[in-house]
Amino acid sequence: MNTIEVKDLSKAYVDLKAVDNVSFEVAQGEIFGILGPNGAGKTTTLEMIEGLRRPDSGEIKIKSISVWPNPGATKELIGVQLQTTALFDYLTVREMLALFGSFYRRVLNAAQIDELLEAVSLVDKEKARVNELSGGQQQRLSIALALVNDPEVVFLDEPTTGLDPQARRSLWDVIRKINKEGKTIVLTTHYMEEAEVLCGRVAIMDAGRIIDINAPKKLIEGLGAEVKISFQSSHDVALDDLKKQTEASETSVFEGQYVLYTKDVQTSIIGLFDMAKADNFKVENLHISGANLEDVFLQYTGKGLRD
Amino acid sequence: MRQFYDLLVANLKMTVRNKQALFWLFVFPLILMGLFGIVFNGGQATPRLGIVDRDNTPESHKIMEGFEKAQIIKLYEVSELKDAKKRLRAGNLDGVVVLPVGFSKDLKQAIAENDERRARQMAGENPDSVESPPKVKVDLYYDPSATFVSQVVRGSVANVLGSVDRAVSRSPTLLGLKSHSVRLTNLRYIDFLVPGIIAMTLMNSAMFGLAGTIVNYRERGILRRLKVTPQPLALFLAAQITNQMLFSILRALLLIGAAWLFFDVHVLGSYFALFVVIIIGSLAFVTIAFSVASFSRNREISDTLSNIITMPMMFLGGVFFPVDTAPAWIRPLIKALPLTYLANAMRDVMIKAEPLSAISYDLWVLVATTVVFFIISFKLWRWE
Repeated sequence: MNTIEVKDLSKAYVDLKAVDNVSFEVAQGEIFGILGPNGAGKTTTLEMIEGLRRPDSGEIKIKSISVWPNPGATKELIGVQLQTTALFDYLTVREMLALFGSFYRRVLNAAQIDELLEAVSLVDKEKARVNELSGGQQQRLSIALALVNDPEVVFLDEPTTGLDPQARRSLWDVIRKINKEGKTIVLTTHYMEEAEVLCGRVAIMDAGRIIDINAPKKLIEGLGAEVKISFQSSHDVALDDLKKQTEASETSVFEGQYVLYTKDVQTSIIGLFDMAKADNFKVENLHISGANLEDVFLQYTGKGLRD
Repeated sequence: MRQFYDLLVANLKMTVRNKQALFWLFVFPLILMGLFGIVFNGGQATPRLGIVDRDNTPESHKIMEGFEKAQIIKLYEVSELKDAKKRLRAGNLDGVVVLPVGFSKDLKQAIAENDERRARQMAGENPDSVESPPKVKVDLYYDPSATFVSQVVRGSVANVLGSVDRAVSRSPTLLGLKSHSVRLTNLRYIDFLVPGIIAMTLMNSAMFGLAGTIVNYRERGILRRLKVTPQPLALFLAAQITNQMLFSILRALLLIGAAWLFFDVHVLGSYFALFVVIIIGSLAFVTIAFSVASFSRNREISDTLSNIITMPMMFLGGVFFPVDTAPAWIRPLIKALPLTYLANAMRDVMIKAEPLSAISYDLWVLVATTVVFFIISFKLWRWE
């Protein structure tokens, strides 16, 4: 049975369709990612599931219980981390956990607070005031706060945005650990690497719509290209010519960055430099790599994730 | 109940740990009270009284001696009434007492009549005869627009007359001031100020503490974070308000304690009535604060709005200066300010020892304010 079922969900602001007829399911124990650029509708989708924002139409069920019109019914089942870190100054880490624990029917005892501190690696910070924590520590506390009621599902809205790479990696470990303990996790991100590393399945979202849902690997395989060649050029290059000369399956250009996908690297590279010699342009910043989710996104929408 | 208790404790902790807020909550009103108390009290602690003896008899000399002995006023003997009035107008004197010609004659006659009446009383006649009003008048000239000084002068003069009266005539009712109603005998500026300051802090802590906190919580997404928990918002706000009330009561006691310690100010009314006034007054300003918080999109707006609301009240609501001498055109504005009623109720309880029934009008105005602003804040409330 699916933990979350979302069907034909829509929400419009004035004249903007923030979420446009979105449907998906999340299975028990899964890490489900919603990947898309800012303004794609990820947060709005999440907030409707969390009971913060009323949808214009559509249906949301958590554990077969409808969220709307009575979001109170599902609040005990979910744990939420919002995009903005919402913490009280002047309380310590332990006091915050105890206070949020008191909001739920489940009684949170000292030993359970210890477990939570352990889970998010904040044991040595339990007596620190919230405003003394680093960004990464605040983010981990806010994840711990999402766990005080031992929820069925945990929602994380861009949990690693604004963190340095090291803090991001340590947060990924925390999220994996929570998932291993049986929690279903729904997260949004605009880092394709994060989605690839963490998520069992990813929904790619743009302009309020879900474009595709699949395992990250399947999405990449779906491109039908094993290798990606990217470069910059001293002059504009005609994409049609480039595709023909390099025998590439796909070519694209984005912000001066030429990208082509091929199954035969040698043929393509020789073709590219032959073309450069003949047309008298210079190939710069040449990269050869396997394709990733960023490429999937680029392929679907014609734009980057962070524009 | 457990949830409310946990929330309240968390709120108390947060308030106590917020050093900046503590300064505004406790230290600032103390400083304000101290400054105003010293500036307006120390400089004019003893009113300067001119005295003109136009009767010049042994009896009038006795009155003069009485004034000379009184520590609470500084005495200046002036021979001519015209001269004394000039000095009064120039601000060199705060009041002038005149013992009129024929004073001793009137006094002797009054004593004789009084003795006779007492004798009749003792003989059983007229057993229920009421004390007659003072028969011998002493003229008092003072500047009525300087309310505070004139009240002190009136109080002091009445005090002296009372004690001289008892000594000279063995009856405390023969001498009287021409200007009547000497009710606030010992009212000093600091007595007037302390209830006003307490009322003002109730307003300010709600308007700047509570409104700012709620807007801050909204701006930082804390309200939305609470909304995804099963905790009802009402409980969260109730804990906030209770926290606010507890600190208001604590602050009032602190101010009263400091005023007693440094300025010898005494609460004449009942502490229960004071408690009731604090609760009702706090609620009125709490709902105004919630309305401001609901209306304001961000902290800048809420602070500006709070200033716009509190500034006129601070100066026109009767915190620092009495409002009964204000010009007529500004009175409707004064009457529209909730702080006017709170300061008034607070003062009536603290220095006039009025019971709750006597200030019920003020209290009902505050209750009505609470209801109106509760509805407004409810209608305007926003989560984000």
